[in-house]
Amino acid sequence: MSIEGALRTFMADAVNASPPLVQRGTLLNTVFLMGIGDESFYVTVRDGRIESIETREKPLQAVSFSVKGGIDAWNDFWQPVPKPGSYDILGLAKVKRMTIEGDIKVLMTHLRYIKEVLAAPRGKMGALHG
Amino acid sequence: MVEFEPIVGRYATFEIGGRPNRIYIEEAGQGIPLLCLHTAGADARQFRHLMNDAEITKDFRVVAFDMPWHGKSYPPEGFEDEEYNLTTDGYTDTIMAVARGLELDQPVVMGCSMGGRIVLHLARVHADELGAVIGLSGADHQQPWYDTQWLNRPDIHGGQVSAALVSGVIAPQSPKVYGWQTLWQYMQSGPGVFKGDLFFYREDSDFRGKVASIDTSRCPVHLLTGEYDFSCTVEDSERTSKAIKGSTFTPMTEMGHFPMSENPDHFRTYLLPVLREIQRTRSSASNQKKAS
Repeated sequence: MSIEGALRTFMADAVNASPPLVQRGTLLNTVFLMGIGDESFYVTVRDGRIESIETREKPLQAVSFSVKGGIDAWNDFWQPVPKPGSYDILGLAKVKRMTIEGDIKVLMTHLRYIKEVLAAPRGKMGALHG
Repeated sequence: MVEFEPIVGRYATFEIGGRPNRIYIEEAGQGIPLLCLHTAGADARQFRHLMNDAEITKDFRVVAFDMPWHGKSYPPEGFEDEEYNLTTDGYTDTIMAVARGLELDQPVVMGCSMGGRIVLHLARVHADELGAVIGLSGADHQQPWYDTQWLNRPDIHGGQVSAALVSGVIAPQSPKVYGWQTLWQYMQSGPGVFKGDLFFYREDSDFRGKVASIDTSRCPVHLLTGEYDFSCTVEDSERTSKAIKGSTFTPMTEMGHFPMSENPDHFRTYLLPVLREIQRTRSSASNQKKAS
């Protein structure tokens, strides 16, 4: 399965199947970018549901914030029980294995929701390859 | 009739910085006073498990209080026009006012996070009044990992963002119920309180270069830090312990930043040996005093 397909199944579908999680993001409407190795994934959130995950950037697309890391960083983050230092995107950012940029206010306003969305594929992605 | 836990809570007023502060104090147990300091932006409920641990409370009087502005301790009168910023001096004055007001005899002071930082100052400046200090998730300095300006804004829910920030320093192995109870305290914290505590933590307490002067023969120092704590890392605490001659450092596996609150069963396996060592040292010192 491609990373895009895996994200659709294990992140988007998982989030949308969780009414409490969708409810926590109900006021969020945005597109954020996940950078996984050399690939970019544009995640569209509409009223707390993941509406789409696209690899193709639309012209002049507005992206609020981005969370980028190498393949190994995401692999470690998505382990069923991540090792120390790999359990949280802010912890990974502290040691520069991930970078978080853009409109940090959007991230901070919905931090719990976004952390839970990004962690949804934990234990399900298998080993990603670059 | 329901069964009560052994914890008893009472209020008392202490003068701190020339102002009366009505402080809520909980305690359980008897014996060596163990004065517990909660983390930034939280309250003394973090020590609820310790106070229910009969093996600890049979030998230790476990006392934990809510700092002013936290938990059931109101801010001082006039707070509505003040911006709360905790300082090293203010924090020290508060702890010593409570210890002296309760007439605790050579208390062991155990603090977590910002509490784990201030005990390094207490061991240096109040060594003769204290029996020992225990620093949980503490070090002489830590690298910041977010801007505290996000914590108190009218357009961002302070409780939600505070809890969401610290959620990542709770270990994945910690029981979910205790992890979420720990986060609930952050969700409940008053506006600007977590941010104000971090003024002490980030701006007013760089103790690098100062901890080496701690005399552990007068005040023993014991540090314990969890491997999942990326806020105060095992490396931070180990560095600090190496700078304090005679101190001990215990890294804790499968543990995060809030050991006593997030995983009490696992934490007590690390804490009990430290408490026994403190008992042994205290008993030996007491015998020496009687003999001389």
